[in-house]
Amino acid sequence: MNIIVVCLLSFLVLPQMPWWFIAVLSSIVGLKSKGLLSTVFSGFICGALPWTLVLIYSYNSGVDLLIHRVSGIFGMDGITGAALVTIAVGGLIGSLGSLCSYTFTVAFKDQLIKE
Amino acid sequence: MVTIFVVYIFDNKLGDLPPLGKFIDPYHGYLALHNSDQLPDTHILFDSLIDSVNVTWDERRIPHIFAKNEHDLFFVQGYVHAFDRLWQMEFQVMAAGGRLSEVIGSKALDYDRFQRRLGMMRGAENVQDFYQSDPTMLHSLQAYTDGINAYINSLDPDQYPIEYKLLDYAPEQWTIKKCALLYMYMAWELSGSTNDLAHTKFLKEFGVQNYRDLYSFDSPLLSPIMPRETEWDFDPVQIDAPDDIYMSDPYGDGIKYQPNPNNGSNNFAVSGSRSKSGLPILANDPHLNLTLPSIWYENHLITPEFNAYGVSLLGAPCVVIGYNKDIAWGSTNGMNDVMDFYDITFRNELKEEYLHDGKWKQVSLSIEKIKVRDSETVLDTTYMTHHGPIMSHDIFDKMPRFGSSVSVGRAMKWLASEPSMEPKTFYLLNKARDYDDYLHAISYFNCPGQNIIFASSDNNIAIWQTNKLIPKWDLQGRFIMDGSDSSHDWKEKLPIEHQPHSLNPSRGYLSSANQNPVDSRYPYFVPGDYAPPFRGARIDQILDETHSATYKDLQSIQNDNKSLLAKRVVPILLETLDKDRLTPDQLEIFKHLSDWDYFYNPDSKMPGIFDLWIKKISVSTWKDELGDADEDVEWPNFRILSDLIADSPDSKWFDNINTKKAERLSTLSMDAFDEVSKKLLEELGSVGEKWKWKNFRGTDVYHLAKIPGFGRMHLPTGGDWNIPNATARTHGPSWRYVVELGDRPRGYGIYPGGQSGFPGSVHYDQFLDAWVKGELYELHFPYTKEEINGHSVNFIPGESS
Repeated sequence: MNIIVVCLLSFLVLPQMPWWFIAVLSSIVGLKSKGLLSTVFSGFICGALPWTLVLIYSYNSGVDLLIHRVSGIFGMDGITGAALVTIAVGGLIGSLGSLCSYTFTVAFKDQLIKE
Repeated sequence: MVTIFVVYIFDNKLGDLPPLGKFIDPYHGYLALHNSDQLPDTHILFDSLIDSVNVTWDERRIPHIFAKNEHDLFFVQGYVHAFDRLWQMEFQVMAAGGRLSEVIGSKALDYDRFQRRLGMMRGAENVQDFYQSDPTMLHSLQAYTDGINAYINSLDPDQYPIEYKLLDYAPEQWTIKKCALLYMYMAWELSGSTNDLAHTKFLKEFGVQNYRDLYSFDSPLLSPIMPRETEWDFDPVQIDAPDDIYMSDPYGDGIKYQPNPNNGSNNFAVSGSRSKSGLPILANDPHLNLTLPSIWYENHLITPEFNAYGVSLLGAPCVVIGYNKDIAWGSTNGMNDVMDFYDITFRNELKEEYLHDGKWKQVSLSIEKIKVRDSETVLDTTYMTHHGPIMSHDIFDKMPRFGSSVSVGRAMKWLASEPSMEPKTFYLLNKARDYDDYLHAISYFNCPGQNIIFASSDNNIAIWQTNKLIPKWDLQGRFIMDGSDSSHDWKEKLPIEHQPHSLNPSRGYLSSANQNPVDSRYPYFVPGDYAPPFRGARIDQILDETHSATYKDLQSIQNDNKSLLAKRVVPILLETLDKDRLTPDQLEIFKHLSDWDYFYNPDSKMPGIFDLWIKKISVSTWKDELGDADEDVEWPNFRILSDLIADSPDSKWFDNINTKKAERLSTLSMDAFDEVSKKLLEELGSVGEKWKWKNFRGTDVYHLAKIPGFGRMHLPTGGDWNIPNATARTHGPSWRYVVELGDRPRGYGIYPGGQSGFPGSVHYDQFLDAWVKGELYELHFPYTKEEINGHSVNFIPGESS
């Protein structure tokens, strides 16, 4: 559910914000995450999915030539290179964002328990 | 912390990696550019315009700019150039001025230092000052500059061209100095070469007679640019030569970063006596490094006094090669030697004074700041003499003649460092109406030396070699000269009427292909790195047989693929082969070579092996005596080698001095054939599809900054640098055009690229496939805006939008 909310939020907020704001949005899923793996996974999705969907939409809306050439920078054709880099970078930043909030939450909880 | 660190990494360019986060962000990165090649709306307001201007882009995105005055014309030309090619125009002048370290960091520092020492920035500053003396040019350049800046200022950072995003920097304001730098860049591309060190080395080891034998200019094969029957009706200026040739110690570094030797060009014109229409036809194809975006931009400039169509350089106003209602012009590189080197004797190691005519002269210092990305600014000092900058001052230890007590350097004298007014030539050519206007226009041109061909609707054809001619004694400037002796200094330039030229020759045509401009009857010594005569001779051979010509005849010359070098040597080389020693596969190659028509067509199968064979023979001939070819050693060209093959099969140069056996041409040829044929058979199999020239060589058009994916590779081309279609692997005809003069001239042209510099645009490489096929587009040449259809935009005076 959180993932869907973050993705929807991304479409609304990211056009007005710098690229790294995707890490801030992805951190939302880390706040209520139940484990490290699921945090990384949901952060990855929140980072990679919104960007990749825009990429795919653009590719199918007449921006294919530009995307093809950008894929060429990474040694690939079509949308493949651009998509892989988008997924990798978006996913990594999303994962790190969610991990941040997750570790913060865990540390905060531990602190509360200790107190 | 890790997150912040990773964000920092992806927010900044690291080494060759772009700032990936910023770049792939679909809202502000490269995808934000998806509409950036879309032409402007129906009108734009600019407060600096005097009157309204209409721009109509035709179906190939060629802008036809209709202005009511020159100020507005050049303002909008600047705007349009920046609109399509902003990154390219700025990158070129940053490279020329030695500022690449600002963009790509310290790895460009050596390159930048070299550009600064050459004097590119100093030269541009001098030229900029020189422009002040000519208000017309100054106003034109200022209007053009304002137009570029109007476009830059209209951009939001998200709209910066994709290369800025990849390299992570921003455009800066354009200046007139950058226009001057562009001309310095062209001067370096076309005249920034020297072989003085290599020739001095040869002279020292083999003497002057061998030098004359192997590096002479004239030849029976030569068809000089100025027809041999040209009469030189002037009294030559007396040039006093020293008694002896000065012998420098040929040590130290040569000039690295030399322009590509394949830079060259063809131009030719037939007079009305040889055309179907009874009026001249002119053609031109400058051969330059092929890049995307292309070096050229096609545009049409119209005012009530001005109607010029053709290609422009990005970063300067006017049309550089093209035509107007009355005349057409085109250019090839003159290849003249306009860069000389002098040994400088310093008084001591402080290098504060140097010897000249028995007196000590003061050295001046030029200190330049080179900004380096992510690093401290570097100060670079160049020692200046009256000859020019010292390009190498760490060579004295290697120069035994001077001993270690004297400090020695080597100064460079380069014609391009003298202030001159090349933009004025193009400005006046754009407006020229007849031969006198053309003469006036080219009188402003100094460097790089060009063969500017001309044709007019009043039935004149002409060609002039344009750079101011330096009077030189026989062999002056071929070797490093004595910088302490004023008799070696350059003297006052020769009168313009003494420059090589030809007007309406009786044969009815003119041509140039970077060969010697004149034969030995010309009264001055005009040294240069001229192209071997084969390309020019082939063009003249076809022109000689051309009557009732139309543009198609001249177009077919541009696409002609016959090699006169191959025609001259292949039959002789085949005679040298011992067929009994050949394998069946080699005999098959032998048969193909025997049947070859000497054409380098895309589907020809023999150019590849001939190319390797003749190069291997060249290596075997020269390497043992002269050493490896590099900036310190220059091997004689293929004309000399073909002379030896045809006339002196027992020449001493064919003998390998490292063996006891006495080798002859036949030995070298057989061994070379055996080696290259076996290599090709192993790599390509027996003669077949892979042997076709288009597959064997082909052409690669890289992006200007060699960004992978932004170029076009393996284009199936024919041609080669020694034949009229001088298409090579990365070089070639950068603009092919033909114009038939008439009541209304009809132009046809193409360049290997497209109008837009945006890789995501269909206009980025739109013309490439047609260019490969040798096609030309018919060029629209409207006199009024009503005569052209397309997307139309009005630039209107008013508060800038």
